[in-house]
Amino acid sequence: MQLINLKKNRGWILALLVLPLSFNSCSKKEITLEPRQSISSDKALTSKNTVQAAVNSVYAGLKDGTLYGRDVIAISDALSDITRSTNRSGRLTPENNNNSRAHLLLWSVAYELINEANLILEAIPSVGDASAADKSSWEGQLKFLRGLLYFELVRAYAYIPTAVITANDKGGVPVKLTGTTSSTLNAYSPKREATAAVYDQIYLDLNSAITFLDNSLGNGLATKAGARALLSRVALYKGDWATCVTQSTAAIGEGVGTLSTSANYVSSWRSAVHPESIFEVKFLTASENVGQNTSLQTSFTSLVTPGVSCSLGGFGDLVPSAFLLTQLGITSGAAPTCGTTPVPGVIARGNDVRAQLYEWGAVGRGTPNIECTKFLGRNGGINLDNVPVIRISEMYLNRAEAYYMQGGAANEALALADLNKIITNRGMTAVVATGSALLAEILRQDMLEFAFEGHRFFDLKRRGQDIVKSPATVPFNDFRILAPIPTSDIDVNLVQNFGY
Amino acid sequence: MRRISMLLLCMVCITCHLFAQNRTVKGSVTDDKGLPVVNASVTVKGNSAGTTTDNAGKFTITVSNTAKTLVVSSLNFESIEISISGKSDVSVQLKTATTNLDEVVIVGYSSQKKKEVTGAISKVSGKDIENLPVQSLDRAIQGRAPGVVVQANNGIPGGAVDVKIRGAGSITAGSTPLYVVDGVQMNTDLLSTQVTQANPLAFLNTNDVASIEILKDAAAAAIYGAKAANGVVLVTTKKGRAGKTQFTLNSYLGQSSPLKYINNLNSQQYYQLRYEDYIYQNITNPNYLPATARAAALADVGLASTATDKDIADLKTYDWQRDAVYQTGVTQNIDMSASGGNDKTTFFMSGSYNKQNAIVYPVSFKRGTFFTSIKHTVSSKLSFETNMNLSSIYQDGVYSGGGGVTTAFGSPTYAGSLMVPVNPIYNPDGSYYGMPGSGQPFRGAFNQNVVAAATLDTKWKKTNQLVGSIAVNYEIVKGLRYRGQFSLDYRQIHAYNYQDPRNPDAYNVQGFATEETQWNTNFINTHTLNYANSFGSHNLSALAGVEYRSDINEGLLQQAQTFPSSDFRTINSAATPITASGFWTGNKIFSVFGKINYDFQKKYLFSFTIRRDGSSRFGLNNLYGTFPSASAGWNLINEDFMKNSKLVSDLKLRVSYGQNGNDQIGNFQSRGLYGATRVYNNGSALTPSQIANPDLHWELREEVNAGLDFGFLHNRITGSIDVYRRVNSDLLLNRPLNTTTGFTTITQNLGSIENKGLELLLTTLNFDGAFKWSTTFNIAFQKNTILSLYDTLKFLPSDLSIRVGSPIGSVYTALYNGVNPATGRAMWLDANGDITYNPATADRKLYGDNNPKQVGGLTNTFSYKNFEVDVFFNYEYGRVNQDGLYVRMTDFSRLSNTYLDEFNRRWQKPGDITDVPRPNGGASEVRGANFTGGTRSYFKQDYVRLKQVTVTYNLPGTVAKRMGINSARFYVQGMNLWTYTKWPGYDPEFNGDDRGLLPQSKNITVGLTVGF
Repeated sequence: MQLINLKKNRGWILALLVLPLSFNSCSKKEITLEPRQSISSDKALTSKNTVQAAVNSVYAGLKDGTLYGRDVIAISDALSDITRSTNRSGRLTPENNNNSRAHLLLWSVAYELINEANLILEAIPSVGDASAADKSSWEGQLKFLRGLLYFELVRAYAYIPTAVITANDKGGVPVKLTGTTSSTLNAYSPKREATAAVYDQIYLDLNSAITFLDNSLGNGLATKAGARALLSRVALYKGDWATCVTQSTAAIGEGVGTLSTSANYVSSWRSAVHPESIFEVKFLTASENVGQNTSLQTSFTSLVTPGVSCSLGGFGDLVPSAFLLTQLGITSGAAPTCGTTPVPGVIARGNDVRAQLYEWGAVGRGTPNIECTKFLGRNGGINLDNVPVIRISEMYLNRAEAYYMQGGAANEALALADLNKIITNRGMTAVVATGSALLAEILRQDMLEFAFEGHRFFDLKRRGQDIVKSPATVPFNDFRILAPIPTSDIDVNLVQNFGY
Repeated sequence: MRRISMLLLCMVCITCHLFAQNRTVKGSVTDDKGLPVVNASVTVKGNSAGTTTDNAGKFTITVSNTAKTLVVSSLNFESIEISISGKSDVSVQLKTATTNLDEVVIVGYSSQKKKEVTGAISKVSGKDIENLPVQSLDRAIQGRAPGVVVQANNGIPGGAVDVKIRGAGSITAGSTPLYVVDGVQMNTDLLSTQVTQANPLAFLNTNDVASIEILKDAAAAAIYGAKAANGVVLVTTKKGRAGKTQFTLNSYLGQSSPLKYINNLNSQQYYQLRYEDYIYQNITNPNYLPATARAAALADVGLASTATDKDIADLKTYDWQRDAVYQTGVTQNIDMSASGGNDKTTFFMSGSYNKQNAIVYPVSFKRGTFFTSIKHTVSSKLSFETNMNLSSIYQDGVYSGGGGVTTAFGSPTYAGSLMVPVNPIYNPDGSYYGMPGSGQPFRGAFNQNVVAAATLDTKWKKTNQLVGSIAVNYEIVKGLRYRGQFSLDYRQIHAYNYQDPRNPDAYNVQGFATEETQWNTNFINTHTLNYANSFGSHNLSALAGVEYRSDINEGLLQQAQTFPSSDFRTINSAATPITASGFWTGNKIFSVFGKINYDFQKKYLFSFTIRRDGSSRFGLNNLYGTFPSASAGWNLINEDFMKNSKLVSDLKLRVSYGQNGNDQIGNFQSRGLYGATRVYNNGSALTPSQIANPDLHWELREEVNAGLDFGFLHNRITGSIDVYRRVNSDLLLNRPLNTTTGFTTITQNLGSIENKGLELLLTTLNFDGAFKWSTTFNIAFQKNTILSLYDTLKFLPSDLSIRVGSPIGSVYTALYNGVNPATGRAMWLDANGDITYNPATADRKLYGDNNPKQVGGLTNTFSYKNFEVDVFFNYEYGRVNQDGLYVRMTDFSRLSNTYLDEFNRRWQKPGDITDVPRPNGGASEVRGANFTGGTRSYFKQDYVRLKQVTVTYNLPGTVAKRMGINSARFYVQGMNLWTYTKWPGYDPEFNGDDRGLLPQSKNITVGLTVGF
C-alpha cells in the first residue's frame, strides 16, 4: 500500500514544508536592529576619542538653561535686590516676585553631569589608547567640573556655612561619586550630607584638579587657574579666609585673565572672549544660540546694538532696579522715541565706568527701560554670548573680603589695597576706609562689578542679609532663601528644605 | 488596440466553442420601483465567474446546461437567487437592502460573513463618508462607529486626528489604532516638522474607500498581536467588477467660514483695564499717584502722558480677528474613476484633486491622487492582484505650526483675539503697519504684524506617498489557498520654513530658513495559508501565516541665515549655515499567526486566534510575545424555536476573550545608550542618554466582550449591543529615578488601567414606501480607571493627576472660589475647604477628567422620489479640559486683549461679588498663586454638533438616459452648521491646548456626480 500519494497530496506536502521553514527563520537575527545615532553604554567609554567626547559632554552640559545658559546668572539676579522684572515675556517675573518655588532649578541637570563625570572617571584607567598625560588632564578637568557642580548645588539648596539658621537647616546635598548603571540602580538611596561634608568634597576635587591641571587648555576649559579661582570662591563661602587669600593670590599669579582698566572696561564687555575671564562657558556656533526667548541677552536687554533704540531685539525681561541705578550713579531722563524723527533717550552717569554698560533699551515692547548690556551677542550674532563664570576682578574682591575678615589693621590695609585696585580701574579715585565701612564698600563694589552676572543673591545669602526690595522685602529667615528640591526626589532620607 | 481587442474576442469565442454544451440565459434586473439596476452582478451559483448588467439593467450570461440557479447582487440591494431551470429569459426585481447582516466583513488576513462574526466589529461603508470635504478618512468616521472616539487636533486641512477605540489604555505609550489599508499595515506616526501637520492617512481619497472595518475587542484584533492593543482599523478600497466600463465623475465646490469670533475689548476698554492694572499693582505703595498710572496706561495705548480724555475717546479700534486673521476658505474637489474588466481581469482606477484654503491665510491643502487596483485570474487556481495608491500633497502652513498649536507672537491664530486693539493693521498707503525699521511701534505683548508674518514668510510642506502591494493567490489543493503579499508604505515629507528678513523674527539675522526632509520606508511581507471546508453540519476554516515588517524612518534638517534680501528665499543663498543634522530610527518585527473558525450548522460559532511577535523594540530578556484569543457565538435565530418568530428576525449572542500587545513603546527604549547631540568648544560630545532595561516589553491588553446582534420586524429594526471590560497592564511608565543618579527616568512595564463600557448601535427604518425615513443611532458609554501604578504609589510623583482610582487625564487642581469682595483678590479653597490665596499641592482636588463619558452620532436619512436628505449629528459629553486660550486671555496684566464679558464682570470696587479678580499687575499676586490657576480655567468640553447635512437630487433614470449618461446626482452639503457648547474658546473640538489653534470651520459645498 502506498503510504502517501505523492501526486495527489503534493500541495499539502508543499504547504507543510514551507510553513515550518518560515517559522524557523523567526530568529533573533531577523529582529536585531542597532541604533545609528547612539551607541551601547558598554561600548561608549572605551577609546581615547570617545572619552574625550564624553568629557566635552560635561562641559556642554554647563550651557543648559538651568545652569550658565541662563538661570544661574539671571534667576539669581532676579531673586536679588538689584533687578526689576518688566513682565514683557512673562519670564523671570515670578522669580523677581520671590514667589514660592520660583527659584533655581539646577538640581537634576547638575546631578546628570556629575554622573557623567563619575562614569568617565571610573572608565579612564581602562582606556587603552590614551596616554598618561591624557588621563591626568581628563581627571583634572572632571574633578574641576564636579567641584563646580557640587558648589552650584550646595550654594543653591543649602545654607552657606557663613550664615546658617540652624533651626531651619536640613543639611547639604547628596554626594555621589560613583557612576550609575542599571545594575546599581535599585540599591541606591541618597541622603543629604552635612553641608560641611559637601564643602570638604569640593575641596578634595578642586585640590586634586589643581595638581592634575596646567593652564594650557585656555579659559573655555578647566585650568589650574580656574580651579584655584573657584577654590577661592568656595573658601570665601566656607569662611575659610586663609585658603581664600592663598588661592586668590595663586589664581592671579597663574596669568589666566587680565584685569580691565577704565579705558578698556567697556570694550572688554564687547569682545567675544572677556579678557578678565579665568573660566567662561563657551557658546561659539550659531547652533548653540539659546535664541530669542531665554538667552541672557533677551533676558536683560531689548537692544540689538548699543545706542540704537529704534532696532528691537529681545524682550528685556529683567532690568536694573532703582536701587542699583542709584548705586551706579545713573539718573535717567526722557525715554527714547522712534518714528520719522527718532529722539534718543536721556541718561546721565557719574565717573563709574561700569555705568556705561547701562542704557535705554529699545522702543517697541511697551515703555522703554534702562537695561544692562553685558550680554549683547558678543560672539557674532544676537543672543550668542560666552558666559563668564569667574573673572579675575573677583579674585581681588574675594581676597579683600578675606583679608578684612581675618581682622587686624594690617589685613585691613591689604584689603583696602585690593579694593582700590578695582575702584581705580573703574574710573574712580581710590577711597580710604576702615572697619565696617571698608567691608560695606567691598560688598558694594562686589554688587556693582558683578551685577547681571549672578553674584548678588548669593552674596546676600552668605552674609545672612535680607533681600530689601519693592514691594516686599524677603527676610533672611524666610524659606525662599533656599531653593526647593524637586518633589519627586523627596523621600525619608532626602528631606525637603523647610517651608516647601 | 483594436487589433488586440479583436484577438481577445476571438479567444473568448474559442473558449465558447470549447464548452459547446453551454446555453445562454438573458434577463433584466430592476429595483423595487421598476427602474433598471445598472452594474448588478450576475453569477451562476457556486461559480465566481459571471457578468454585470448594462445601462438598461439587461444581461446575457452563458451557463452550463447543469446550472440551475443564478445569483444576482448589487450594492445596497439584497442579493437574490433565481432558478433558471428551463428558462432562458428571467426578470429579477431586487429589494433595497434594509439590513447589512448578509454582508461580508473584513477581519484581517481574511473575511467573514457578518452572521458568523464572533468579535466586536464596527463597519462604516464608503457611501457614508462619500464626498465629505475632509482630507483624511479618520476624520470622516467621526461619530459613525460606537466606541470610536475621533477628535481632530485642530482645523488644519489634512491636520492630525486623534482616534481612540474604547478609551485610552496607556499613559505614556501610543494609543493610536493600527491602520491596515488593503492588507498594508500603515506607519501612522505623525512625522513632525516645523511646518504644519500632515495626517498620514491623508494620502487616500476618501471617495476611493469601499468600507472601513474597526476591530474593537481584543479577540477580533488578536490576529494583529503586538500591534492590536489599541484596536485595528481595516480600510478596503474600491475594486473593479467585470462588465462594461463604468465611469464616475464627481466634483464639488464650497466655502468655509469661522464658527465664531471672540468678543473682546475696544481701545477705550483696554485703556481702562491698563489703568486699573497699574493702580492695583501698586496698591501697597501709599505714594503711588493716579496720574502715574494714567501716564503708564496712556503709554500702553500709544498716547503721550499729556493726552486728554478726548484723545482716549478718539482712539480707533482695529478688529484683528475679522479684518486681519480670518477669511472665507475655499474647498474644491474633483475626482474620476473607471471600473470594469472581464472574467479574467478586473480593474478600478481613479484620480482626484482636492484643494482647501483654510479660514486663515495662507493655510491650505492641495492633493492629487492616483489609485489603481487590478486583479488578473490566470487559472482557476492562480491569480495576481495589485493595488497602487500614489499621492502628492502640498500644504501651506501658518507660523511655526508644527504641532498645530502655535503660541508664537507672530502666529495669526494666536494673535487674533489677543492683539491690543489700538494697533493698526495697515498704513493708509496699504503697507503693513509696524514693520521693523519703520519706527512704528506695536503696543502690547503681540508686537508684530501677524498679517505680514503670514504673508511674507514661506512655510510649505510636501508629502509624497506610495502605498501599494502586489499579491499572488494560489489554490494548492481544493480548499487550501496560499496568498503571498508584498507591501510598501513609503512616505516622503519635505518641509521648508523661510522667515522673511522683513519680519521681526528674522530681521536681525537677515532671514532664516529651515529645510527638512523625512522618509519613512515601511515594508511588509505576508504569507498566509487559508483553508475552508465543510463536513456535513461542521464548517471549518483555518488560517496560518508568517509576516515580516521593517519600518525605517530617517530625515535631514538644515538651517541657515543671512540672506541678501527677501528676494532670495532658497537656502543656498544664505551666508551662514546654522544647523546640519539628521536622524535615523526604525524597528523590525517578525510574526507567526494562526486562526481556526469552527461552526456547527451556523448556529454555534467558535474562533481561536494566536499570534507570536518578535520585535526589535523589546528588551533582550523579552524578545517574543504570544497573544491568544478565543470567541464564541450563538445564532439563536437559526434555532428551531426562533424560526417562526414574527417579531425577531435576527438574533446572535457573542462572547470573547483576548490578549493583545501595544508595541508603541519607542524604537530603542530598552537599550542603554550614549548619544552625540551636544557640542562644546567646537568639539563633539558623547552623552549617556538612556539607562538600559533589558526586561522592557509590550503593554498587555486583556479584554472580555459580550455582544448581541439583533433584528426585529423583518429587520426594520436592527442593531447591536456590546459590553466590555478591558484591562491594560504592564503599562509603559517612565518610572522616575532619583535624579541624583544622573537619570530622571527609566522606562519600565508597570501599572494597569481598566476601561469598561457599553456600546449601542441601532438602525431603524421608520417609514418605507415612496417616502422613506431611516435612522441610525449610536452611543457609547465609557469609563476609564487607573487600577495600579508601581510599588504602593497612589499617584505618579511626576504627574499628580495620574492617580489610582481615577481616570487618565484627570484634572487635579485647587478649587477656585471667586474673588474676595473686599479686595478683589482671587481665592481658592484649601484641603479643609477654607479660603486660601496661595493653594498648595495638598489643596488640590479631582475636578473631572478629559475623557468623554458618552460619545455618539445620530443619522437620519429621508428620501422621497428623487430627493434624499441626510442629517448627521455627533456629540461628546463628560469631558473637562483646561482652556489655554482662556488662561492667556484672562491674564489681565499681560498687555493683550481679553474677553469683553470677563472685563465687564471684573472686580472694581469693594463689595463687588464676582468671579473675575482685579487686574493686578503681575501674572500672580506677589507671593500669591497665579490667579488664572486652579479650576477657574477648566470648562466642560461637551458639545452637540450638526456635523453634516446633505441634500441630494438624483436625476431620474429616464432623463439621464436621454442625456446619454447612466446617472447624475446633485447635492448640497453643509458641515459643522450648528454647535451647542458652553466652551468659551473658538471650538470645543480639539485636542491638547487651544492657544493659537486653527479652529474647525463651517463648510458649505455643492457638488455633482455623473456616472456614464
